[in-house]
Amino acid sequence: MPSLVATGLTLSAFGLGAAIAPPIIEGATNYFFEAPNYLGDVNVLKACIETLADGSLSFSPEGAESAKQVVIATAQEASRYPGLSEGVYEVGTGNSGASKALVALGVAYGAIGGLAAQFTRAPPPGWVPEGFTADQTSTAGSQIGLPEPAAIRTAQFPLLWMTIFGNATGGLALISASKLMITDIWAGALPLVVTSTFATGYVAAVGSANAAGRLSWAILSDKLGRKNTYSLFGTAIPIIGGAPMLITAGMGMDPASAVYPLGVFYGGSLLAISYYGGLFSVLPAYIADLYGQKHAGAIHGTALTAWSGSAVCGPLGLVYLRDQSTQTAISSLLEQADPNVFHDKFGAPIENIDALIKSKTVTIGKLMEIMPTGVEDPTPYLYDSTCYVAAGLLGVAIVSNAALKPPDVPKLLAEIEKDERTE
Amino acid sequence: MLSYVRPGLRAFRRDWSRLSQTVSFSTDESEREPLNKSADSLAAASNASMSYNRWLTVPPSMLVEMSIGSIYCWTMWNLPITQSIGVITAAPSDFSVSEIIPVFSLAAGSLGIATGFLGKWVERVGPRKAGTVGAVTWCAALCTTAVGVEQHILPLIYTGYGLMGGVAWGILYMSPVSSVMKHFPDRRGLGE
Repeated sequence: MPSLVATGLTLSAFGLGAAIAPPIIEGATNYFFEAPNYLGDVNVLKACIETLADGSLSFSPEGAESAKQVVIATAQEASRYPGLSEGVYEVGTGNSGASKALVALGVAYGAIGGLAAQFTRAPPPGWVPEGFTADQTSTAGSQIGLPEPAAIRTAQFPLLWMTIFGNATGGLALISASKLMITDIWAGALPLVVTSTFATGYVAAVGSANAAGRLSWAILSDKLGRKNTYSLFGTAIPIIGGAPMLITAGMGMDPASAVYPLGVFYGGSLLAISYYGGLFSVLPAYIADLYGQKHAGAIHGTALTAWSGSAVCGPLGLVYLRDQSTQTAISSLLEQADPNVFHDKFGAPIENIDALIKSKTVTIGKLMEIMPTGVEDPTPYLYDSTCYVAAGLLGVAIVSNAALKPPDVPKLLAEIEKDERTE
Repeated sequence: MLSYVRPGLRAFRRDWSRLSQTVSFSTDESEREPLNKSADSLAAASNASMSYNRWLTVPPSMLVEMSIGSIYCWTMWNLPITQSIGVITAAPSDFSVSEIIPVFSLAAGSLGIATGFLGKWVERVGPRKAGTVGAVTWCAALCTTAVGVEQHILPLIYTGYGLMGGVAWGILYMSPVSSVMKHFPDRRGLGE
């Protein structure tokens, strides 16, 4: 029991660090934020702003010798910064606070970690706790175990790999973009609820759910069994696959009712992230069940390549699918836009759209300002395809897990021994 | 996952006598006896005395873990980094979201490689040295990222938070868990 507490405390401290970091990062970034130069209202200054061929905006007031590069902030963008209003701002002034906050946190984290490390100790070589005998280090079945090369050749290993990969990819996609996602999806419908502070709280909650999932699913898997626990994670399929429907429903509601689908989305995604945490805390024991304890560490190391695969495919897949959805959404908005209004707003014809998108002069948010009433903002739906792919991958993971039958380890070991003798 | 160090008795005695002079902690738990007296010493990993109260290593180990936990929160940096030039909204030359989100993938990939290459090193040098190197790497990673943001050099952001951050993640995650599990060996780990 003391070991469970000690190891559990150490591992959950990592999750705790992830849970408390978002408000710290937000606070530091806000602290170092310097507002850029506000030049004025866009309608007043419009005549002095020229859209260049590369899509960027150049501001040259009457009598000025040189032009300034400017950006135009929408009301929604400006609302993230207290005291700033929509309008024209000079590029190259102010500071987003990111670099100073990075240095401040780097020094703080380095100092805390470095100082704390001075007080950590490994036990003296050969030391074991009182009343502890060597064979207690291993649980039943530890005497046998399939060596790692043989384990990887079993039919079960690719199934296990797919189980991990399919489960983790969606989780890592959400973790890598949680703040952006919650804002993109819900800030439009609930601007007063889903503020920057709310989104930061969501990132912290995602970190906590990850840590809590590690602890609670590991404990529960002792009762449920490892395979059944993994099967239970399949309940995330309707959560993730149903998210686009939930979002659609939420967008059609008035703000007072839309908080309910937001609550379901919030809770559902946290549950799914707790599964992500559980996946990894249950894994070592699952591997020991399948292949025996003896070489479980080495097999675990190789199985974690599935996590690396997810870490690459999750965020990159999200970026790819989000880009695709953004392009589709912009094309569809352009079809409904009045070309004259577009030209007037962006200072360039619709034909220049590629340069305007590339220079971020045209974004979905800025296009929405010229859309006729009744045209829906597509931003909340940018993650629909990501959700479907994540749910699909999770389906593959659940099928792989269902197909996982423990290999006959004693028989396989006997075969290895026989092969060695004949050689 | 973690193999236990089985040292030579001579090396152990030398190490113990040296360390027991420098490290003196209270004896809450009864005296400890070495069990394994086989060959090959990796004594450098040890820096606690035999009478060290093993619970004393838990709070600093937790702090080390907490200091790296924030690497999971890359999403918090997305907005300020993708608006570092435009500040209130993205300027044409600002990095795009699609360029910034994959930094997390790079950190995770770097973690995987670091775990493979540095696992044995962490075991050998012990949690104090590994933790110190990890903390310095993490600080340097964030500062390199800051220079990348300030000077607008994307490869520096990838190198800093991505590559160096992943290495720091591997070291600072592994070393406290490894030493705590050695102090509390009577159970399988809770995993990665």
